[in-house]
Amino acid sequence: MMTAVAGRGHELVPATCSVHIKQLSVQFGTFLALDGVSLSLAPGAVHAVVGQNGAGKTTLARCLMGLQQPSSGSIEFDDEPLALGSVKASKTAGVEMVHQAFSLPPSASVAEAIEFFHPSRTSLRPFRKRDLVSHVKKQLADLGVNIDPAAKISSLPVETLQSLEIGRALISRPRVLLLDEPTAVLAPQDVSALFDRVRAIAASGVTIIIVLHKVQEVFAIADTVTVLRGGVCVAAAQLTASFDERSLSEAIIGSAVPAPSTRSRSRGAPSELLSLQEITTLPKPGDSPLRNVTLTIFDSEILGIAGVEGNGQRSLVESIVGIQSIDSGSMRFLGHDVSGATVTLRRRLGLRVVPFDRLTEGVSTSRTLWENVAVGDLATHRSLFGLVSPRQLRNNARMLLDTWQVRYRDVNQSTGSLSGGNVQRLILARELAAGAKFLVAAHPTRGLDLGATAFVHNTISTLSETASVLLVSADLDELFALSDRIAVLSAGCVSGIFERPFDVQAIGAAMVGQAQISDLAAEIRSFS
Amino acid sequence: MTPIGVRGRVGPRLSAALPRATAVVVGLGLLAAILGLSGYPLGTILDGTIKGSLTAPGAWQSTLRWMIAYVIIGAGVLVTVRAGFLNLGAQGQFYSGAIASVWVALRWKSGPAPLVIAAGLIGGAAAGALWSLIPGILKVVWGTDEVITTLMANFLGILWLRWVTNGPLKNPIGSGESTSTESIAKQFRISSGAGVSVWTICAAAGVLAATWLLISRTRFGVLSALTGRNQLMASWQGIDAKRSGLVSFLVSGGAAGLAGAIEVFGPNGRVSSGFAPDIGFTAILVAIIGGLSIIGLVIAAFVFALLQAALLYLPIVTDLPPSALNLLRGTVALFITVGTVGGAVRLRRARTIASQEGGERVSK
Amino acid sequence: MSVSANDIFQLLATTLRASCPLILAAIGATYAFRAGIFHLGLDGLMLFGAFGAIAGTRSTHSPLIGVIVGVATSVVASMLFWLVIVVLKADPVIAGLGLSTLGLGATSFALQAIFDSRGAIYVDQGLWRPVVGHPTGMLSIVSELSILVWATPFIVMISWVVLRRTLFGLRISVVGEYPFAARSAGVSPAAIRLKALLITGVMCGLAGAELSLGSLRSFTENLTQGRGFISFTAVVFGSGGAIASAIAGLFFGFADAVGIQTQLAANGLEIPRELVLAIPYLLTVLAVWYSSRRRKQLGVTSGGFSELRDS
Repeated sequence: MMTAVAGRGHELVPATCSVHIKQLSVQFGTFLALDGVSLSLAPGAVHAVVGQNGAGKTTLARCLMGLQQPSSGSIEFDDEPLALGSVKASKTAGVEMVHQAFSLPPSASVAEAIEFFHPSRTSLRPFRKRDLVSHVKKQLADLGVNIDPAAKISSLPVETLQSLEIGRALISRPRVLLLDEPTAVLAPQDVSALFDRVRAIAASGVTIIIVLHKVQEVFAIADTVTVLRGGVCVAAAQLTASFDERSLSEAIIGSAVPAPSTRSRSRGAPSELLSLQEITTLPKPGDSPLRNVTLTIFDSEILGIAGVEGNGQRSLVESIVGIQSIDSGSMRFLGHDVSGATVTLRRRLGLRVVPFDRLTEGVSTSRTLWENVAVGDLATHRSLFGLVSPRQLRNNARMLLDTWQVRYRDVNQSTGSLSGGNVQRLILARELAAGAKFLVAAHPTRGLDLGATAFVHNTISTLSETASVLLVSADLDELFALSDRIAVLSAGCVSGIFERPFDVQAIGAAMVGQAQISDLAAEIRSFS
Repeated sequence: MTPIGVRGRVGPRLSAALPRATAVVVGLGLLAAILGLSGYPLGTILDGTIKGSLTAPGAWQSTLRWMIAYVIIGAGVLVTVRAGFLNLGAQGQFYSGAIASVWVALRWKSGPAPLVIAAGLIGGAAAGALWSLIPGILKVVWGTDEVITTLMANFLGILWLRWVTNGPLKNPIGSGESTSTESIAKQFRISSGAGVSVWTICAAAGVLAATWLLISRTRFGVLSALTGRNQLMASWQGIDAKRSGLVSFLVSGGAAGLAGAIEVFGPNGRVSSGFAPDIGFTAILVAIIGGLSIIGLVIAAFVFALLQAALLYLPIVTDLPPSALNLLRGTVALFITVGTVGGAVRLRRARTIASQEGGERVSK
Repeated sequence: MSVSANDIFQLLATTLRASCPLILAAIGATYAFRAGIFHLGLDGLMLFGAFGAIAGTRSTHSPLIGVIVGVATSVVASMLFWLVIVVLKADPVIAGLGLSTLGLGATSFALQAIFDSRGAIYVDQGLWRPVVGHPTGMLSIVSELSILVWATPFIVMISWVVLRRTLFGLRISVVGEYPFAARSAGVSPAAIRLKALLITGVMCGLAGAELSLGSLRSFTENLTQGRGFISFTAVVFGSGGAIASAIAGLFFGFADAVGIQTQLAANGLEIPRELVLAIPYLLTVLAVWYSSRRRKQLGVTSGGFSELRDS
């Protein structure tokens, strides 16, 4: 593993390089994205980094690339300390990174983009388009990448973009190659091609650090695996062989044993609250569109939505809320057809939302607390010019915030000055103030500390006595503890609906899209 | 209200106003330093400023006259900027209001004064609102950058005014050089040439009261402020951003148009090509310096009106050029928004990948 | 009334003279625009350049040194703008308008304070004029044009090459379009913007020098009369392309010339000059509307003046 064959003439560069990360911490405000991570990675191998969303995987990769200045700690390549927070230093040390969202300027041509990253001339020496194209063509051909260098970046399909992004990173013959969730944007059949390529690159002696999301992928590609959980390193570069799928899932999630059921209610004849019929949405960046999703949510029920990030959770939530219009299918809410209804209309009927990103979608951070609380009621009115009394709105807000135990100084303070947990409390206070019949909660506890998480959990479970909840979460423990049923989204489809008691294996299989429908059916039958 | 409440409300406001006040003070200090270094007698200038803006005969009227205009136009600007639009079109809206009102007054020379005045003021406000509505529609329907369209609308307004004063409404008696309209009939004037009368003061106070009501006592006020800062959050809450956007453009145009009409029926009595060329920009500055609050607007308008009035007087005591005020305006504008942009320079093109920049932040 | 050949020559000559400063400033703004900066301070930079050029020439009797002084003044002002918007993070639109106003105020004030003049200051020597003394005929088109007018086509072409065919130009575009790509390539957006604004300063200084030293050989208060904003319009109209912006500048200069000619000739063709001058602005509004409509159809949303744009 250590001695690699320097394939295409990188004799000048020592082809192998070990990476030592020591006590690396990154802090954003009060949020600790990485907490004293220490790792030693052997040269010329494939090292996977896994963890849930927000566990700090991308942050770790960005630190290595110099895109993120760590708050403390150090990084060494082959015992050479790296100057932190400088892309140039990292590049000089032989690090390259393949970004999940790509780093290629959309309106440039392929040739220009490659020239931008790997200048072949001084900055003011003019090039001829033809020369540049043939130069880049040769560079890409050397790497086995076959893309027309004259094509515009924005016109390329996503697999080609990724292949180009990898080619872009390999041109400078890096010693360490970082890949940030490269599989997230690919269709399953393209993943194996990617892995073949990654293996070939590793075989040429490059140390590979690959951020992954799926447990199966780790076993398919990685020599060692590092697990991050909430910024803490829970497994540091351990041999992949020392895990099996279950133990690795445990390490990622925290515990694979479902928490004892905190909910057991016998429902009478359930009546439908919201029903989605064959909902299909148009594609949008960053998430799978919904494909023929049929779902029903009953009265006083918590329906959990599980799934790997980007499998249609956002499309589902946004089409239920009314932000995204549906392409086909129909939606009924409390007996009304709401397929084409505005957000306001749905809210008037009793829909409430805790959005994905509380700081951009949930509140306006630069406005005051009372405004952010008042908007919930004000926005549902038809007339814009109705008079309001700010004093009353402030008093209302004060009352609500006190009831919901939001820790604040003054209702006139800006919302950005609250901590994450308190912002979430504010959102819940606003959304559940009056008339809530159905709450859509998207990752309601993401990034919150334990206390705030418990508060949100209590709120949701109390709410379910009077209203229904659609709970989208990446945290299986949370889903298991709270949900009456769990629906799994995979590639925009409902790949399974599970009832209590939940089977983590079956749900995990449905999440990664491996389960056969017949198996699922059998499993579901066995539960009922 | 409890004392705690009062302290809570005033404290943050004062501290928020501090950087903006600093920009003005630094601008004034810089101006004084430049004047001093250039050999101007600072004492005389200070004395002249006070005389020209407050104590000399007619001085406070002059200050008040400019303050009225700044307050009215600035109130409209405040509403749009608060709603999240960087509307630079005050000058053009002001001109279109002035043109419409002078047209009413010159076409309906024999009408009963109260009716003509009312028609002129309403017509002026309507013309300003329409002038502003076009960029507004382009913005809310297609997302066309309002900075460019309102800027263009200003230049079109300037050209329109030049054409009107040169052609259709040109004063036939004037010499070849003169480019202004005839004066409107005496009985239509709501103030003397000094520009201060019960009517103009009432108009300004009325606009202030209406704006205050609009921004702090209506749903529009609360919702447009939130939308202005965070459109994404507004869409999750179901706020109709299009409607409140159009309303704010209409209000801003209407206010500037009304100010134009008041210039015609009040101090000017006519329009001439390129009159009051800095009024729109000053009003925008005044709204921003005032921190988009009514009280701040009044204070900032007072400061700039005072300087404007003094500037017309200063040449009597010293040979200070009127451009000195532009020096101050420019410095203040350069620094007034320091620190307000979160790092990114205004992006040239809207991008699909814009969200990727914030990917890390969003995912955490 | 018929239009004589000389009228046409005159029109073309006026077009060249009127469009040269517009094009130079527009080229300067192209660099800023491509780096992602809406530059509304061009007018101020041009005034600084124009004043510096005259002041320099008056004190040294060398138009060359005058031009250098003008360019230097404009560059210093441009650096101030960079400091304010990139380092101090001010809003570029308001700060740009401030720069324009500052230019107007500072040059008028300096006119008074240094030269004790409210009117105009003159210089006896202007920029070199390669062809002189042809009041009529074909050559009258290029007669009396300063060297800067002659140089302008070359400056445009060089700028096109720099922006579209060099690594530096590529860096400017990437910084303007996708700063994340620049950062991941180890390129500092702030440094690239500094260089872009430096060039903007040089170009606007030249534009100002052409206005004051090239055609008029004098400086008066508000010499530019808003030409900087017309240049900005040209860049928006040309959506940041060097050649497109230059052609837009030429067209705006032509509109200006036609305006002057219709006013002078008044030969039955009753086109109001203002209407001709309005065409560029109307076209620009149409152009930005069209491109925003297309973006909307492509499903691209643009940010507002808000928290979101900040990120």
